[in-house]
Amino acid sequence: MIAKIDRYKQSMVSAQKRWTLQIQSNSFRMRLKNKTSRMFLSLVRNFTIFGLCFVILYPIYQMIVVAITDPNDLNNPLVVMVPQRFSLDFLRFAVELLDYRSGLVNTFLMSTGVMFLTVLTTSLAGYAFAKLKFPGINILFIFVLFTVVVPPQTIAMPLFIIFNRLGLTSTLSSVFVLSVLGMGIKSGLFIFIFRQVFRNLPIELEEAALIDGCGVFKTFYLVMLPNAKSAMVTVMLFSFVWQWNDVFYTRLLISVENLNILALNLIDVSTGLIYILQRLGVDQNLAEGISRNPLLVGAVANTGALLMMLPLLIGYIFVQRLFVESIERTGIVG
Amino acid sequence: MIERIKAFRLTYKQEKMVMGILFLSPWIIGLTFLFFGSLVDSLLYSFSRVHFLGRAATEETIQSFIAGLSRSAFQRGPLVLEWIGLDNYRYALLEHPTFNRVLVESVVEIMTSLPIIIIFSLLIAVMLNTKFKGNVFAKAVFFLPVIIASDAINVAMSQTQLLQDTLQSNETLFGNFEFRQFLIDSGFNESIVAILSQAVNQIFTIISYSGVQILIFLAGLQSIPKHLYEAANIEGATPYEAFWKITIPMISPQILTVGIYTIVDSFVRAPITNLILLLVDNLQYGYSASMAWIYFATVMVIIGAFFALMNRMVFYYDR
Repeated sequence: MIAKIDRYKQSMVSAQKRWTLQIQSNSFRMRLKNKTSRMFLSLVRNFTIFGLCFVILYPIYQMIVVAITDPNDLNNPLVVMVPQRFSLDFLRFAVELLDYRSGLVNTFLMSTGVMFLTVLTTSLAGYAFAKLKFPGINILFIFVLFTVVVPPQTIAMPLFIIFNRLGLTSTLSSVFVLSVLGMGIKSGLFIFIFRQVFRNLPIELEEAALIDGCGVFKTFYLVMLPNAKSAMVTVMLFSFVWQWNDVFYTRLLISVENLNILALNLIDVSTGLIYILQRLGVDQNLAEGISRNPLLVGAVANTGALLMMLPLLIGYIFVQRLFVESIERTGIVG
Repeated sequence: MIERIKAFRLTYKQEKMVMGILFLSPWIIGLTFLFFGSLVDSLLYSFSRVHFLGRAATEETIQSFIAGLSRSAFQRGPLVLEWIGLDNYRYALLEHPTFNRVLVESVVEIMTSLPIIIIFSLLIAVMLNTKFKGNVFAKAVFFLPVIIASDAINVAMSQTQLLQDTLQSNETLFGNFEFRQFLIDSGFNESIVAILSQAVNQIFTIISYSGVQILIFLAGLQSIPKHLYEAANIEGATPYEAFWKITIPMISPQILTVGIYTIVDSFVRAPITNLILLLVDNLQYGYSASMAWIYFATVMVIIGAFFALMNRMVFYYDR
């Protein structure tokens, strides 16, 4: 009997040993598997992310290279990635063709003005939609979505006629009026973003402000707006950049002959180099020769594009951290 | 005392309502005069032959011109609209040499790029959302295309195609021809392979059009409560399962938003824009307006279909 129990005990112990061993080896294998799979995943991720970073950055690098290459080196197959002889010829040429200095000033004025006016109107409207309910406001909000969904081509022409009758076309005030009335580039989207952010602010903030004696406007200006800084950064950046890059509205409302805007000048450069050269007083034959060389035209257009995005790139280096953080906090949801 | 508080509250409520209308007033003015004004005008143009009598036309000449027309006509701003019913639409759909083709092209472009952009930006957002070295740098680079994406630059760069070819000695960045052949040989559907290889070739375009989408997804991913993943991990779910059972349902509202944003975003750069604006330049307002309305209707159908499809799958966590 005792021997039986002993044997039983022994078998139990050995079984336990076996189990623990098994579990240990199992967990070891699992850990190994986890580790390899994690390493594999991170490898895939890093490969994808930094590969795509390269895909994004490489064209910009190439643009810079072309801009500072000597015109004689353009056809040279030995010159790859790094220019051999440097020259500022293309830059000088593109600056001249784009009318860069006055164009830059005009574009900057336009974008800054539009940025501030857009933030003003859309933040007010977004706050009203979020917190200041009055009967019928939900129907109005459907109209906000409607303005987002309607393609701008549909209303382009009558819009031009309206502005023409007001005598506002071909001045900066046309885009200013458009943005202060909340109908600028993607203003509906900005109203949507502001509404989302203001709606998520707790009601206690408003109540505290009321008890401290703030009226509605003071509450908005002193309490709510500082709390919606992330949305403000997002909207300001987007409205500035989109206005800077915009061709559609700018071409519609401001024509090239009257006002220098970089985007319009750039399109002009790439389509009608020869006319611009003649306007600048270059000899007829020479102008024709230049504009018939597609490589040269390409290089000039390329340099022009670089010049147009250069201020944005420099600005972006400074604000990118703020931008990324604030847009993540904004949380646009459907 | 209570009554006074009540009275105060009521006035505060009233103040809020008044201020609400006041806050919205600039936008309402813009909506009624610029937006709806233009929309109604454009609808009227699309049903009529539009005559422009020049800047110097006086009231009398306009009236006599209207009297001279055979069909009913009326003055609208500087233009005279002669009512011709559906003729403009008939012209756009049946007679115009390229409109149908360009419209179909635009729609196909939206439809094919929509799933690619959604999946791509979701993938990138999930990857960017994890912690790794160079995270901040990668984020900054991925939003760069949002900053520099411009039609003007696109037009300028399309001119430089020859330049690019010369610089890269006629080799595309991704020589995917052999891979494509391999996929077809191993029994994939050819049309799927065509779409995929096109996507690979256009990787730069896709990246530059999905910047905002990545942002929206990133914001959504960060608002998912962490305890869901912890619970799933304790219950023994693999990261793969957690992605499908937690991330996808939690991010589904953003998928809807991103889809609609992608469709809306592709409006202005759709090939049909040039066609419509070209007709405006030629003063053929009626044709151009009818085409714009056909395009609008098509887009609305696409958005509606997408919304109906997605709305069933969207999961709202806090409702």
